[in-house]
Amino acid sequence: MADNIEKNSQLVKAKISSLQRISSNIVSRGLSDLALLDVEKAKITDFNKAIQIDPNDASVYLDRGLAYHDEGQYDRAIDDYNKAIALDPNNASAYEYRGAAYCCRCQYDRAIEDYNKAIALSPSLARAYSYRGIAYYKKGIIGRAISDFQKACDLGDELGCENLHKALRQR
Amino acid sequence: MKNDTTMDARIKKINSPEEDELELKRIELTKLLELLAEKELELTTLRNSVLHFEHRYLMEVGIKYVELDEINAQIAEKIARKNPQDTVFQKESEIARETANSTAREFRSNKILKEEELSKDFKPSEEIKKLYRQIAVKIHPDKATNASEREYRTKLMAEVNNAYAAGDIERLRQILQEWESSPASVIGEGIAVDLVRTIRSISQIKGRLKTIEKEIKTIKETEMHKMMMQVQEAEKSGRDLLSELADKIDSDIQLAKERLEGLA
Repeated sequence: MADNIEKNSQLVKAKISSLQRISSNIVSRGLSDLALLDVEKAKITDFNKAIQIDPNDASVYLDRGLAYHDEGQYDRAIDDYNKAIALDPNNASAYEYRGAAYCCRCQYDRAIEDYNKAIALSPSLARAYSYRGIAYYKKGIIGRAISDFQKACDLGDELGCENLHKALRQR
Repeated sequence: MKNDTTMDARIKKINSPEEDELELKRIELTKLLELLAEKELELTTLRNSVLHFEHRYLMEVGIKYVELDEINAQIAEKIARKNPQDTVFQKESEIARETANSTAREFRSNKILKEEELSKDFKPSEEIKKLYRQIAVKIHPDKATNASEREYRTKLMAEVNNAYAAGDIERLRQILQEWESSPASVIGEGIAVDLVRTIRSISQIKGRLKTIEKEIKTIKETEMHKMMMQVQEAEKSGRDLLSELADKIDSDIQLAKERLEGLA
């Protein structure tokens, strides 16, 4: 009986000490991820409403696609980009975004195809070069990657410049 | 006339000032004890709710951060191995490894209790709450009149808290029964002694009430409690935030895994 009480009071002490930690990395990370999740959820709800009002506006599908992308829901993002492209086939950004989603899913060939289209439609789209460079780089085609980073950097894309230096250093 | 006789009796019973004082203090003590029992119940309920929630959070979400950080560390290490001359990659891989290790450490150090004990949400029934209040009023350590009695009551109170935490209503009934059948603590060693004891108890209880308020405040300031509130609020509108969060990290894990494989 006495032993039991002693053991229990030890357990209580252990429980209390675990509560006294005000802050913890795993927890604060969860809290900030939850906040982000909520922002994305709210955005998607708004875009859903906008789509109900005007189902033929390509730009809303693009925006919702980006929100899904930020949530890590790449399949849904790609669905939305497809819809935007069907409504507005000459929208360079739509291909660029879809390329990014394919890139996130490690489908680099499809990503490169989309960046090619984006660049054909809008030859000064710096980010398209920058991201195509990344896709080539991931595929191990370093020469092409470097020339894309160079082009992006020339067009004023900072990420392109940064990646250019990284890639050149490794050569 | 019945009323007159009662009245008579009342008038005839004249209390000394000490007796009156003791009577008043006893009433105050009884009220304070009820409040104390209520506050003890609130504190222990809050503490257990947060503990159960913490366990759920760690098992549903925390464990995924451990996995994600581990894969990210492996990615960084692989890149660093491929580029042994690049100091930036070497540094990044060290940082990623340290992050993964500390997340895993944190997870392990929090997972101190048995799973079956905490796997469900803490939702005490009204019946067990009532029993807790009943026992707390009787056995609370702050009612003790000397050090050894206080020690005994403190240990018993800890046991009551444990039984409550475990939802063990039978154990609580048993404790109450044992208490009721044990020889009652002596009252009536003279009014002066009783008065001193009662006043001391009142002051002890007031002190304990302050401590409880402080502890409740501390728990409510923790991030764990903040998250628990957020999750409970979302539950009302039918959302399960923890599983949404887990899904999000799962998709990050999936991506990181693909990336790791792509690097091979």
